[in-house]
Amino acid sequence: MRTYILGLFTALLILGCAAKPNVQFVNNSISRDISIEGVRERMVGQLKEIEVYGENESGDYMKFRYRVVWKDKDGFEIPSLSSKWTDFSVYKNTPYQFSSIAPSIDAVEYMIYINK
Amino acid sequence: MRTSTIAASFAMATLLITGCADKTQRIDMNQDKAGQVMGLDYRDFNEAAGKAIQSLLKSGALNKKDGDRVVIAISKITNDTMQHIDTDQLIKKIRVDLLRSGRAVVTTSIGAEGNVDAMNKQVRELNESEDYNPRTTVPKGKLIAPEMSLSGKIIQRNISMDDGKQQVEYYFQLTLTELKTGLAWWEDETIIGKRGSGKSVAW
Repeated sequence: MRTYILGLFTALLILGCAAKPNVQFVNNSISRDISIEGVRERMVGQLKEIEVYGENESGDYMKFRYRVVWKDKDGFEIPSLSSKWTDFSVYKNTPYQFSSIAPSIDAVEYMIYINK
Repeated sequence: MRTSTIAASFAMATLLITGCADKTQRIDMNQDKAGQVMGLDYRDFNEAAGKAIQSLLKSGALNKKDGDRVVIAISKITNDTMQHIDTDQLIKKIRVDLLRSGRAVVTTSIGAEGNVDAMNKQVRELNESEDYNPRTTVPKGKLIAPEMSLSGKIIQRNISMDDGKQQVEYYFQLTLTELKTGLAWWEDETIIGKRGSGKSVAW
């Protein structure tokens, strides 16, 4: 019983601390300023829409950039304007979110990059 | 002897001048950290087009019940700025992404000047010519009429500030109209503001 609880606790700890699989900080120092709580997904017609949400944990208004690389089912990148860097700003100690819609009905996978 | 001395001096001066001149560099379009300009550059068009296409796709205005693609005509895009810009710098990016999206296709048979391919009409005139094999000419009734029209305007406002600086505001406004009803199904505006020296020229 004791081993089971310990295993469960360890698993929760690992899952909780793991980086979100579809989001990558280009500069690791960003993780000291903002957190990523998750990525929501939904369908808008035949296109997938994603929304990244988190919180600015620093005491400063900050400016970042993000880009979303969309890929088809075979892993090939689908070129689009969303793969260019887009600015976003976050107010101090407040939640933030930004979203992106798939550039094509063939886009099923995505990778989000965040940089300063 | 004197001529050769002058020639040598001239060659030396030329080498010095070209050697000291700034070398031309190619811009890295993916990571351009060069300073901003008061006018519009490719970064501004990328931003405005990127936001517009995201907004348009999210709006659902291009979602047809049968899943088919919407046929769009490009209407007038007015350049109401002080700059000599070709509005295709904005519209072409949107057109490319619209086509890639699989949700829309743009007709070049009808539209505002610059967005029509004259060959659509010329190729139909071949029907009257006996020189062409009728089986290779385009039969009547094959053109697809547009269902929607994309129109817009780019506006510039220059504002002199109290501290002598200049503020330039650019408004990228776009409208998608359903041609059957005349109703605007999607509209959006992106504002890009710049502030700099009052001596800067924004045209």
